[in-house]
Amino acid sequence: MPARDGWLSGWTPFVVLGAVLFAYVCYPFVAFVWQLDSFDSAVATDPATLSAVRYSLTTAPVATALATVFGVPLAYVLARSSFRGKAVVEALVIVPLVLPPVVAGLLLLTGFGSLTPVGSLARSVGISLTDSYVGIVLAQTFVASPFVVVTSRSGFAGVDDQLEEAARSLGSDPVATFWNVSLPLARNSILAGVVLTFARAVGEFGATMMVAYHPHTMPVQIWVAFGSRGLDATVPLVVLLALIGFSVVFALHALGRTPTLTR
Amino acid sequence: MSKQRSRRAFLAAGGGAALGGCVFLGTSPGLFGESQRGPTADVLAAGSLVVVIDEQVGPAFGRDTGFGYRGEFRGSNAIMRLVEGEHKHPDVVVSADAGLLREALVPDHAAWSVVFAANEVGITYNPETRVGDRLAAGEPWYRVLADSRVGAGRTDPNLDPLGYRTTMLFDLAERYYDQPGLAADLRTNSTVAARESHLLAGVEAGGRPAAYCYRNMAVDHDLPFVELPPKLNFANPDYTDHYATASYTTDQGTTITGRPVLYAATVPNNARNPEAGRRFVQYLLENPDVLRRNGLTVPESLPKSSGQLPQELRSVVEADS
Repeated sequence: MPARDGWLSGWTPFVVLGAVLFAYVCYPFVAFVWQLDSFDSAVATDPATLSAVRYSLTTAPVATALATVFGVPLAYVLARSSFRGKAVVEALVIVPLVLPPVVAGLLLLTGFGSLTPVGSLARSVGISLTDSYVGIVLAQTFVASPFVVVTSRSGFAGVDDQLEEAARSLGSDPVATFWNVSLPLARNSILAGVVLTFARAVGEFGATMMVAYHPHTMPVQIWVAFGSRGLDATVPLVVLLALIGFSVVFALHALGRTPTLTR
Repeated sequence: MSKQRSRRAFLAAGGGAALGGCVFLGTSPGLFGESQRGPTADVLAAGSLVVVIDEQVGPAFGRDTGFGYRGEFRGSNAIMRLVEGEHKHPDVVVSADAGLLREALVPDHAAWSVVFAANEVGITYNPETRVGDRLAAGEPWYRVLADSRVGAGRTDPNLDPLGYRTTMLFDLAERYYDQPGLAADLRTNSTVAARESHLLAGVEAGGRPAAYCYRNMAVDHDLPFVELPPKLNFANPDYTDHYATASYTTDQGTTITGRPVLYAATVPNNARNPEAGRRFVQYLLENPDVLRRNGLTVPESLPKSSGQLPQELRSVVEADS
């Protein structure tokens, strides 16, 4: 930002265009708060509300971890190698972003429903893949994982491969090179992807409500509360989800300020 | 390097412990005061029944029978597709359209079905508006709502049964009151709301003075309800043939004929806890007063079954008729 004197001079187009989007995003929140009749504090401590908070906060981190553990290596492969059918793999990784979540939920039900081979196998060892904790994690991972894959891939692509070659010429094997050179250098992108994946997982509604309507997560509980008791009953959960949204922004902000060699 | 390695080990250990904690907190039963109970009846029911079943019948069923209850609510069409496609395996299916349930599920996915309640189409209004005053004072509804300044709400006839029943109501009313042109006036002087859930929100907020809706919707929202004559309200199974004289052709070209608003229930063949499911249906049949309190109607002619009813339900249905 330039100094105080006439800061608008060179920045006007940016400020004006940005303000339009900012106002557009803010307006519905203002309208939402405006329309509320009352804040019923009993709703905030309702067992259904607490249960929804519990399930959201215990599933989204696990979904995020799964997406990261399997997604970052995939991103590394996609960034560093070329093979037949790579374009197909890349497209399939992105598909969950394009699909309406309800369709993603139907796909998951077709693959993991309780009467499918996979579903009955899991049942025989006592694990239910639908309408359960596991079902929520499955839905969230499916829908949210593209974020960490896509951002990590672009992070790895930004790492100078001469640095990796230098490490290898000094006797480092591919795994050690990944671990000691590529991963630290792509760290910011990966962490940004992790944060986005978490945000998507915690807000996931469409696929979750197909695969695991029960137990309710926060987004499903919001929908159920709106359907039965109206807008006011959704407020505590909406506020909490908005707070999680703010935390995500602050986390991204903190990451953005950490200097790395990629720049 | 070793410093970085120990930091990573620390992060990995901390992260692992946190994730383990998540899985434990998320999967262990009994935390947060939930108790394990007998077999649970998984009920997949029409969205318009969410208040009556999820807040009244379900919890009472759990208290009185010792079975668990778990409800899931969606549009009736979606419910049929999910059960037909074997995507969901509920113990009880409740549809807001008895004919739809029979056509979609019997006999391939369920052996029987039972109609247990009806709902009536009518008019709700905001008592703090001029239109509300006129309706409350007893002025004939069709005169009030045919007025071009009113703009009563209705739902989209191409999207949901309430929407096409409302336009059929206009046609039936034109003949019933012998007022040529009435149907067209009622149609053009009403506005289409996006969804059922938004229809009454508009009336509550005062943005819309009146709306055509099902009776239980008005009860759920604590709004007044103008009852219509039985020949117009789609609630009396005895007038099935009369309702069928009205029809609506959707934008896709399908013609739908009028039929009463009847709620039907069944236990699908591949239910996981069929015993709990049958007990739930029995409970629905035995407690018509709960349904009535929540705005549904249960005429003398119900319950009415089709197909081979299970033994424990047969006695309830026969005792009533």
